[in-house]
Amino acid sequence: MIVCVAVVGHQNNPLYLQSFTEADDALKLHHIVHCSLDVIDERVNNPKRSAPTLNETFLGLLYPTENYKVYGYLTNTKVKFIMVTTDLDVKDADARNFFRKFHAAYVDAVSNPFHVPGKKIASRSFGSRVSTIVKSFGAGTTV
Amino acid sequence: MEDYPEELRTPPLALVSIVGCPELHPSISAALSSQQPPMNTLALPDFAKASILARSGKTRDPLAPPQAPAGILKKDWLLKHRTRVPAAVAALFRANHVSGDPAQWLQACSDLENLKSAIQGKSTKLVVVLVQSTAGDELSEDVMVALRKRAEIDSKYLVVLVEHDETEWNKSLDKLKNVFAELCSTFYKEEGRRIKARIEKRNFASVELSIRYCFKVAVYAEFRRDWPEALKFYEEGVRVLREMIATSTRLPPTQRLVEIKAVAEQFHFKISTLLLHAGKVVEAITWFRKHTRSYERVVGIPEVAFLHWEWFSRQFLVFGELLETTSASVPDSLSPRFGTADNALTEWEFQPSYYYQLAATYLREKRYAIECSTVNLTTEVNGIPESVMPSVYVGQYVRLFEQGDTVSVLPLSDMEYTSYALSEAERFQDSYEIIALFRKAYESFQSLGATRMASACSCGMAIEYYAAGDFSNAKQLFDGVAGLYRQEGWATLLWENLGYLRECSRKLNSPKDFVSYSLEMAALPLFSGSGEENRENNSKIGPAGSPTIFRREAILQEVINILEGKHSEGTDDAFNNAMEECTPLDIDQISPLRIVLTASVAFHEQSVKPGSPVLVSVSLLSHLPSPVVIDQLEVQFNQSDCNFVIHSAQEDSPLNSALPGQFVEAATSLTLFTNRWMRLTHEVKSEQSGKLECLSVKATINKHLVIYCQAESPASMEDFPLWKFEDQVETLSMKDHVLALSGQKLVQVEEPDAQVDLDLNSTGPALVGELFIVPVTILCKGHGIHSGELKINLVDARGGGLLMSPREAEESESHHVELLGVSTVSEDKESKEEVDNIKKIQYSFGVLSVPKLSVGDSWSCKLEIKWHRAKSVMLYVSLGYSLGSSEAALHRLNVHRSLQIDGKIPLTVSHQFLRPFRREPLLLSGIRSSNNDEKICSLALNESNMLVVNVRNCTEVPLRLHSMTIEPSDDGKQLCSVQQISGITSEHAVIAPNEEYKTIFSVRPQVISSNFNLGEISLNWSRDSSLGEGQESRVIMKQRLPEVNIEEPLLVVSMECPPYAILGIPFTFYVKIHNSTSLLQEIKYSLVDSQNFVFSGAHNHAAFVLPKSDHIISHKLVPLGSGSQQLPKITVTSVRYSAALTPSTSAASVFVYPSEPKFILEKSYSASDECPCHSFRVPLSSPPPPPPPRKMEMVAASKQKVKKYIHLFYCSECEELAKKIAASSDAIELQSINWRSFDDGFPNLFINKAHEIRGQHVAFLASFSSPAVIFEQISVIFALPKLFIASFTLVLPFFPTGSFERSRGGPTSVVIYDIHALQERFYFGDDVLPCFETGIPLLLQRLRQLPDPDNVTIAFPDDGAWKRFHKQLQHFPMIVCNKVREGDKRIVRIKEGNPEGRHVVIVDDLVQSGGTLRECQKVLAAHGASKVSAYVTHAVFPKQSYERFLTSNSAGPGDQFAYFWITDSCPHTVKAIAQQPPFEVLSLAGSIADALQI
Repeated sequence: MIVCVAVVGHQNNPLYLQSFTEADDALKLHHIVHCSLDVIDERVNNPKRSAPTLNETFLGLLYPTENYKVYGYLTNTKVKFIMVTTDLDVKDADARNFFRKFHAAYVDAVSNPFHVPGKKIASRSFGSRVSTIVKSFGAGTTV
Repeated sequence: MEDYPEELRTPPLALVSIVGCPELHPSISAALSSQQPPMNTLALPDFAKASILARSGKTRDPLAPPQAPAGILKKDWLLKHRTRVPAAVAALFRANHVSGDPAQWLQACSDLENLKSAIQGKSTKLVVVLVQSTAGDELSEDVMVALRKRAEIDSKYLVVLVEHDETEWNKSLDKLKNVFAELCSTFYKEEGRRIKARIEKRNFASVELSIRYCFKVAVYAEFRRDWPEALKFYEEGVRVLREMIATSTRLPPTQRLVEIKAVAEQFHFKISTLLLHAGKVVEAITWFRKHTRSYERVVGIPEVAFLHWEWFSRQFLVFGELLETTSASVPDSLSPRFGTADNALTEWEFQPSYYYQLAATYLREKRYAIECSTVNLTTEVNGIPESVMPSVYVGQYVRLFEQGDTVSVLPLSDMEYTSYALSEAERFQDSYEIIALFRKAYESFQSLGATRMASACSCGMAIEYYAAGDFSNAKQLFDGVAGLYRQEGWATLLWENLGYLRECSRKLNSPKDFVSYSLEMAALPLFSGSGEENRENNSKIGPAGSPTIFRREAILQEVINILEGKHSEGTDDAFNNAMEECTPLDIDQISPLRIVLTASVAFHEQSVKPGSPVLVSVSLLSHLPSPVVIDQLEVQFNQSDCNFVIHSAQEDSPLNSALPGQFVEAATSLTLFTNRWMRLTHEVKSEQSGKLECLSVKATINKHLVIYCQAESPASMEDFPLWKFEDQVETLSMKDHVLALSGQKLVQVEEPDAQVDLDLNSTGPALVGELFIVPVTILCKGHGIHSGELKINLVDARGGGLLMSPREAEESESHHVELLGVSTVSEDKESKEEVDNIKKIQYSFGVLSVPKLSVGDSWSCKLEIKWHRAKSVMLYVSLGYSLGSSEAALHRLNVHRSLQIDGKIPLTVSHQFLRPFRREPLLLSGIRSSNNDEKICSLALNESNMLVVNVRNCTEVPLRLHSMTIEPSDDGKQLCSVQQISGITSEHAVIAPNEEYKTIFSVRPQVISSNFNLGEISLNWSRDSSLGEGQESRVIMKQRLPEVNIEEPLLVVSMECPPYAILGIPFTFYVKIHNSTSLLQEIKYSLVDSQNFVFSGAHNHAAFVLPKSDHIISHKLVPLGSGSQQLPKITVTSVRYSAALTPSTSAASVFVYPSEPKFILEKSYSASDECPCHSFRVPLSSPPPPPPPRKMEMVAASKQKVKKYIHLFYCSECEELAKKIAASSDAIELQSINWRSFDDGFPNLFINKAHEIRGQHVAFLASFSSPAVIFEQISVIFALPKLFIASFTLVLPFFPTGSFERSRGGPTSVVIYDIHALQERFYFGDDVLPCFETGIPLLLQRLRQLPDPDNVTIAFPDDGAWKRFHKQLQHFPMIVCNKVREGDKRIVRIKEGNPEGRHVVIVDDLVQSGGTLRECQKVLAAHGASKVSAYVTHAVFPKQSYERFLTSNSAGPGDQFAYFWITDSCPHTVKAIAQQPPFEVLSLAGSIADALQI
């Protein structure tokens, strides 16, 4: 089950962060998302390691922490998507698929003429679309 | 990891035992342990100790069925095998003990027996070692055999050690080692096989045994370094263990779990160690992941959850430590793509810090669990069971039960165990452990550059510190982390952080921090959450509470309450007391509190005059969630006079007992609403020039909270941290958009305008050499001058700054332009002294002080500047002064003026030497070399040479020349006498600009010298200016004369003749040859005939001249022509020297008067003397003047310009005009031609006096008026030039398509008057020069004689006429008409000009029928011309068409011409119309006569 998704901007500032847990661990998820930026930095800034996969947007598993697994995705505009899941066995394909859908939703959200680039995403329809995607991901893995 | 027993942590080593010969043990054991692989040695000094090796426990009946084991692993099993169960035993005997004494042999045998019995029942091998002292001691074969038999060993296990020989000893020791190694290997293999067989047979009842056997097999494998097998069995053991969790029922569940986990831990440790040692990092990590995953959920009952977490944490810690100690790094073969399908691992999993962090996290989990457990358990369990201790089995605990002397071990119940564990756990200080772990992780992450991870660790540390009550440490850590969160805009994380910080500062009694953290929290951009406050008790939420807008408001309210003195709950009194103090907060541009209050200040102007008001806008913005009321706002500037205070009107407090001089203003309301700019505009006046900058805005809130907010310029204002990512409407700080984008918080206060006039006067260009005065005047208009200072600077106007070229600077130190001094004109001496004191003048720079002047005063001084070279110079004068006396003296005002002054050379001096007239050296005293001596003049010795000095004024002002002298050089005085002949007399010569002044000196050298230095010309001059009469300064200017060559010619030829001659009167011409040599000289001379003289005497002759004597040749000459005539050319030749001389042309000419001139020479000479200074002022371009006595005649003669004498022929028609022409000039003589014709009509012409016109200028006045006469005239035109005439001019006043003509010597020329079509000039051949004349001047002359010359307007009937004539008539108003021909009809319109009320004169070149003129006249009359006249050059009027114009014939006044001017170019017409009005004939005669002279 996905517990948290986040969009992180250029200055590593949170643009959107939504947790999907009943438990009140938002703060913990914030920490996890924030810490995972280090891994993204490491992967993006280490040219040796990322050389063969320059055009790959999906960053894969960032790191497992306590009960969560963190997956990352980097758009071509260097906006980072982070997904935190409690599922132990996540197929890469599923994660990719999720991020692709999420990216589409994000593109639609920032294409809104009333959205100012670099600002937080406040669109409600984006929120609802994201929760749909998150739910479908959970459904996909259980089946 | 240190918790683990030694035997577990290190790889097991094979164990052997040696018995007997204790003195050899150390060396043997050292040799064994240094072996590869090393072996441990169990050394027993004598055989009595051999019983240790015997099995210690009770002997079990091997046949009895195995009992169910009480535990999985025995704790000491491994230790036992590593220290007490040797793989082989070596019995050491000394060789002499065995072979010698039978008693000793017996002893040895019994020892051996004992040993054998000790290892009885085990597979421990036996080795016998015989120790020899030297190699040479041969042991008897039978002893050895006996010993071997006794020991029941193979022969190769009997080893001989040689004690005292090094090499033999080593060799034998090696042998022993090999034996041991072989035996060990066999032993452990056998043991392992034995246990393995049990596993394979599966003949045991419980799982525990299976695990135990796995462990044992693996350990035996390890003993013999068979790592893969070890790993395999460890893994097998773990697998079985994992299965056991669910199945085993042997112990109470809690303890069972504990045991299983403890065993699993050991297994896991072993596996990890093995993998890491083998360098298989990836496998190790994968294994660890599997391990943690399989045990993650095995928490057990909640009461003992803490045990699980402790264990779990330990797993991470140990693995982290293992990773850290292992040298293996991430293998390169690993796919670079972490975290994806082909490589499921991530970067951090290779870092120990990751594990430390998780260990810390789980340890924290344990602490929470303990807290939960204590809450649940403390009430239930009354006492903690005593004397609980670990049992023999790994992970099991038992209670020692003492009953009297006997101690029995009792198993524990779960309950008992739990409370025991809890009590143990509570004794433990988890916090420090957690902090240490976090710190380890933090440092590690920090070194990896993972700052966020490090921050998270740091945060964890801080929370632990906080929990432990160490607030200052916590605060420090939190502060460090908060910076990162602020920077990256993680508001939620920051919120939590600030919550802790706030509590820390509350605990630390630091109200200022408390307030600032609280305010920052309140201003954070957090909107999420619905405001549920129900999780207060959740320990995972920090003291900040959940980040909601309500919480923010609550925090703000709390701060306000505290500030207002309302003590809130949860704070102690000391803190509240501290809060009582006024707490000023500083907010600058990088302060996180900017979001609480930001002040943006902008001046409406960029610069402002001092004293004039400028508007300043102050805008405040706060992100605090609820409106804030500001009591008082003080805006502070760097010029404190400008500070002003605004206070809220509702506030009637006398809080601001306003400082005197401060502006206090009351505003209606000073309430800051969330995210809305509060804009205030105020007027500020600054008296002080310079920068006026707003420094800060001091806002007082609730009397206690004072915030100094640093002012920011709107132009350079940065986004708000944290808020900049919020999706909200951006507002501008200023209403005015321009101001909001470009406003500045500082304004430049300009300097007050200087109200002092500085005048520089210069009287034109300066002259080199004179002391040029530039008056400087200071006029105080509005300012008084205090401590004024005048700076003077001279700079080269062409740039470069220096007034001398660098090269010149090296040569001479003198400047081209020098500032010599400054003279003040002030009257009182006092100030003068003062000035003199301060005056400081260098070559091009000067400073002098200006006395104190009050308003209205003026002061002046004069700059004295001297030019040494002609140079253009910029003079900069700047006056710096201050207004007041002392306090305002800081500020100085400056006035600058500059002036370009050209330095000019006033006089150019040139000179010329003239040797005695008509006297030339035939032979010089020396031969001159040709190259450079040409420039040197040579002067004749003892003769009077003339030196003409020419002084020319190059300036634009008249100069007065006082004296001009030749200053001879020192020796020149005696050697050469110089006399002034003419020039300056007592009156001073004034030379106007561009005029020349000449002075003549007579130079009589008295010594022969080449390169004789004559001396210098010294001029004494001054400006001839009326203004400077009193202070006229004379300047002496010197110019050096070039060196001259003084020589005495050996032979001198002088000519003598009278000054002038008279036509026909004979005179004598002498040529005198002087021989100054001491030799007889033969002279030849020849005389060439001159055209204008007849002379008597020989043409060629020779003569001898005696030494030091003269020879005179004389000729009588009679001049035949008048004017300046060349005398017969004489050439004198010295035969001896082959030198010839022909006197120069100027010397050999004389003027011949036709008759005796009527002036008296004496008088004219004296007259020229009387006008001293004008006598030799001659035009610039004049050649050097001839000697004075002859001058006047020459001028008189040349002034009479000889006219060209012209013979004028004419055609019969033009007789009248010809006569007029002849009458107008006496240089024109009329000649006649007989115009007759033959009978057949061909002309029969005869030119009278044809021979007389030979060599003369001839003109012919022709008239081509009718075709009939043209032919005969052309005949004349052909004939005349053939009569050997000098020049021929054809005058053709009216050329039917052109007009009037003439020719001169050289090319024939044609003069045509007012040609109708300009292109017709090309009708003439290349050898004809057309010359176009016009009759307009005649018209102009006539118009001037009119009664109304001012009222004349010229009209042109068509464009052609306008083109021809408008240039000559430009000063008249003009009318241009437009003519359109329609068949015979002409329609005339006025194109431009206004004829109304004017006397209009229509001008055209020729008239035929006169239709155009009439039409034109009508139109002009219709447009209101008062009178209309006409002028045509050529009045052709064919068929008497002129009659229409006659006044008598005209239809009425409307058809009349007032005047009709024509010229006499067409003789027929002139004859016909004579002087009938309105016609008037303007004769061309004078004009033609003049033209003929061209």
